[in-house]
Amino acid sequence: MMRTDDRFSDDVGPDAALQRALDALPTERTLPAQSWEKLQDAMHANAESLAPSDARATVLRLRAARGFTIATLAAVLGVVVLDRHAALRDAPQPLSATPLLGAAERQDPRVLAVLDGMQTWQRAANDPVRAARWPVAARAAIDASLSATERALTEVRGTLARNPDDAVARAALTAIREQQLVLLQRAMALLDEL
Amino acid sequence: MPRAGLLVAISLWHGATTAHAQGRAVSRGWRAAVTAAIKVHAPTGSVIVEGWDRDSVDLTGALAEGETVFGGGSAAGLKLGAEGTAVRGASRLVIHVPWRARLTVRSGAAEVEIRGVTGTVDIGAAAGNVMVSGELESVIAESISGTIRIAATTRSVRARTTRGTLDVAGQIAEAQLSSVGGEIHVSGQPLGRLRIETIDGGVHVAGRVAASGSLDIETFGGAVRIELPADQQATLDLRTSSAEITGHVDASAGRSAIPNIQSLITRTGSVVSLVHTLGAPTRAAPPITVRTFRGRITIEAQRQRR
Repeated sequence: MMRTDDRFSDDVGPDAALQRALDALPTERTLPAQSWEKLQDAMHANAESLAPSDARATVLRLRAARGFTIATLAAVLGVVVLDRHAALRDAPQPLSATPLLGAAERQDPRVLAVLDGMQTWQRAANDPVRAARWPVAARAAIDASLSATERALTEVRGTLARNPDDAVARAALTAIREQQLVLLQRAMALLDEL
Repeated sequence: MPRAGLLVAISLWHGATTAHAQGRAVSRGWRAAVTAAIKVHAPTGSVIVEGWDRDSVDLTGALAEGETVFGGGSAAGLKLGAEGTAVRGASRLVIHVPWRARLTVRSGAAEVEIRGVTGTVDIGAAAGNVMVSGELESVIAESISGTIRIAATTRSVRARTTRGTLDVAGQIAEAQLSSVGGEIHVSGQPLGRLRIETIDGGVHVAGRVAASGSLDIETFGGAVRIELPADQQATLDLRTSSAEITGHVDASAGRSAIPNIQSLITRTGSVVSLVHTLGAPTRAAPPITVRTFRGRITIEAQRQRR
């Protein structure tokens, strides 16, 4: 069967071509019935929701919610601060007695070594990477021991203040400092091997 | 039928939980010289190191979830043990080593027990308890928060705790023991050269001090109690700055009876001291020296009354 080419189709005349062109135009879209009324009703309802009395209530509600949120956050912050304060208060304070150092102690290389060791210990204990594997019980024992030795030092200093010639008290002071130094050095060495 | 299914499910569940509680079984071995230097690591749980008469190291036991076994080195030097972080359960390891090995053990929170080895032993524990027994060349033991118990015949002991009790018994030629707040107990026959230091821990020494030995105790607040046999020869030099000295000593050969030690005590202010020789003055008298700041001193050297 022979293929028909449009260029060689029968001439259907200008009317038919015009009609095809008109058919190809987009059809006119008209709004659905009563759409304008529906739009007006919607606008009216929206305007009612924004009436002055309702807007005030909404603002009050929002303010109340914001106030409640702020109060809650403040309460949480307060609990955190109090908890932290309690932890700091209850925690051993190894350096608590160091302001009581006498002039002779400030010059004593053993005392300086102990103070240096204490600072090193505190830095290490607060280093989350270094102290990650340290058993809690061991850390607590070291802190408790440092506190105990500082209490002992304070007691000895009191005795020396009353009687500067007390050789036993002076010897005790030296012995306690040596214990502190060895405690810190050995503890750090052991814990760092873990 | 449903009841049988339930029983099967229960037994499977029980088997699974029991296996979990017992941990993952492990068994490893290494070749080692009889005098090898062996270092053992144990983070948690427990480790028993026992000497045997083979030239190898054997590790068996169960591992906590999260821990693995490692080991390596040469026949002359080995390093082995558990590593990692236990998330569930506790490792229980038993390690056999040549009995003449030189042993080092490092423990995090693991309980450590050493027995049947004769070489040098060096144990460091952060939070675990330590127990050493046997006939050893020397013992070094440290525990920060755990207790240490040594029951051994050895020429040398160095032991230190922070808060834990230190308990030493046996035949010991020389010992240096110290603690910050832990009690120190020593008993032995005979005691050689013994030095004890503590801040607040109580000290209790019981036994005969050898003629070539000595006893040197220093505390800050810890009370000191010394129990000697009635015929002990010794030169006592005891002093407390703000406490009391009490006790009893018996009459020894050539001496009159001393029913109460109070008659020997000297007081200077708050300082209380006692200097006295026990036993016959012609025989060797090892020195017994005690210095304490505010600890009470008690010395007993008498036969048991019946």
